[in-house]
Amino acid sequence: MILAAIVSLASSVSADACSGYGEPVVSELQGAPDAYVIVNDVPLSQPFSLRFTVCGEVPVTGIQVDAMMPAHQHGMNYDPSVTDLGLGVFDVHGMLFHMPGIWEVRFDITVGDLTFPYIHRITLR
Amino acid sequence: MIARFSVAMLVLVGSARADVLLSDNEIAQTLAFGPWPPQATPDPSNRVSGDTKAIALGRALFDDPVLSVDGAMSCATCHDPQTAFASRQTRAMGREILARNTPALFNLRGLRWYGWGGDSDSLWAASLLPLISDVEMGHSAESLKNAVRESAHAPDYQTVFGDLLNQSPQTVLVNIAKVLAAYQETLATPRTSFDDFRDALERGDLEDAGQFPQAAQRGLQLFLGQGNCSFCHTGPSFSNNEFHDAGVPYFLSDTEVDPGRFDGLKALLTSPYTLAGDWSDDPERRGKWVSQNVRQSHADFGTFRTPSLRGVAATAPYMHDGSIADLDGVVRHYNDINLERMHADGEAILRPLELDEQQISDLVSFLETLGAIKPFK
Repeated sequence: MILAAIVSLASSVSADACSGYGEPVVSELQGAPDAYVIVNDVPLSQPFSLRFTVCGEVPVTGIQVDAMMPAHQHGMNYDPSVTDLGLGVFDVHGMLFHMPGIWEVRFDITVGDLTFPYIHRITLR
Repeated sequence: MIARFSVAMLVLVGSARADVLLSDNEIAQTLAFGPWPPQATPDPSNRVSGDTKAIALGRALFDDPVLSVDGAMSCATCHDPQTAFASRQTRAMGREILARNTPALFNLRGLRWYGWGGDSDSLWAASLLPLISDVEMGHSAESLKNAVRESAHAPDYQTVFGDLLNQSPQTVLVNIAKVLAAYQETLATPRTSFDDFRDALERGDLEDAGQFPQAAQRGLQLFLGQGNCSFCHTGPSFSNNEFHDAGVPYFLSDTEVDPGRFDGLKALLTSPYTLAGDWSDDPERRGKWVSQNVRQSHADFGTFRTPSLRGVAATAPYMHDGSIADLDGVVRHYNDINLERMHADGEAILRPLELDEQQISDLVSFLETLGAIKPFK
């Protein structure tokens, strides 16, 4: 079910991009780099964008983004697209939440042989 | 004197508040169902959207059997203006009994998807497909061009689109679909008592809001809460315009099924008539992301588009196959829903509601406040 927008990030090397970066995002994996997300407005049933930032000089080589409603056991009906802005900053476009309630946005970043998952919860009224 | 006046005002405000049953949170949720009507903006993919001559031509063609290959039926044969542009038949009758109920044609401007299965991402594309369907109007592009050329509509067509003879049959087909869409964009449900209630809540006029029937208010509370209706029936049109398994059997017969969205997406993704395609008039191709980014999933099988509830009292029978005769039956369907009919790995939204008889009646009362539509001439 977790399909995602995947971008090629072969040469993306993160620098310290963590100034004015939004809310911290939690990872369940120890050793995960600090990460932050900015979500300005989430309209119901309309596309929106967010920004995901990985802190420190972490060589991120891939990122996948998806979202789901745990209570309803369904995800989004559209694939978002990810743009690598460099310095560990990624813009995610084409997110669309078609129901009110609690959504979990999941970011999976690849650093070398490791994948670090992050979860950010959004409650949509 | 001032003190007495203040006390009197407090009593009045308290009384008015008591007549509004909704909590502050429910009021906030209710405001999201408006305002109504929404602002009307032309469809950039249809260059004749909003054009008065195109609308008039579309209206005339809508009622004219010239749009069927043998003159046997018009759009209005199924989408009857006397019955909210829907049909009282359970499943539509084209050249054979079709798989689905005829949907009403109100409030279609600017939707993301059209049709029960979402075969189209524009109103003009949704208007085109029945014209060339073998089991509906039965035309080919060539026969349609000839029929229009020989009809009384030819001069009006040429006023809107220029010389018909020098246009390809495909061009004429798309142009006809676009005037039909221009006409349908004008079909909108009027304001209802619910809209007056919602607007009174917005301006904090509890005395006015308190005039909304108590049964309908209780029904609205159920709509927002225990009924789970507002997960899918959202926004001013009461629809998220996406696709769900509503627990209605999708067997058409012992050997046939209606795949719903599953086939709708397959049709869309092979269609030349999308917002991403060459027949869109929008040089920016706004809206193309819909067909380019939409996900396909096996869970699409047997899902159907959430219908708007505006004017719902006038559009019986209900569900994608017209299998439920009235609103009371719809509420009872969800109240007693058979979870074994649902996708085992699909979304987990529906469950038996456990509403009692009074609650069922209240929920129906609320739905009826969303408007009964007068016949259109």
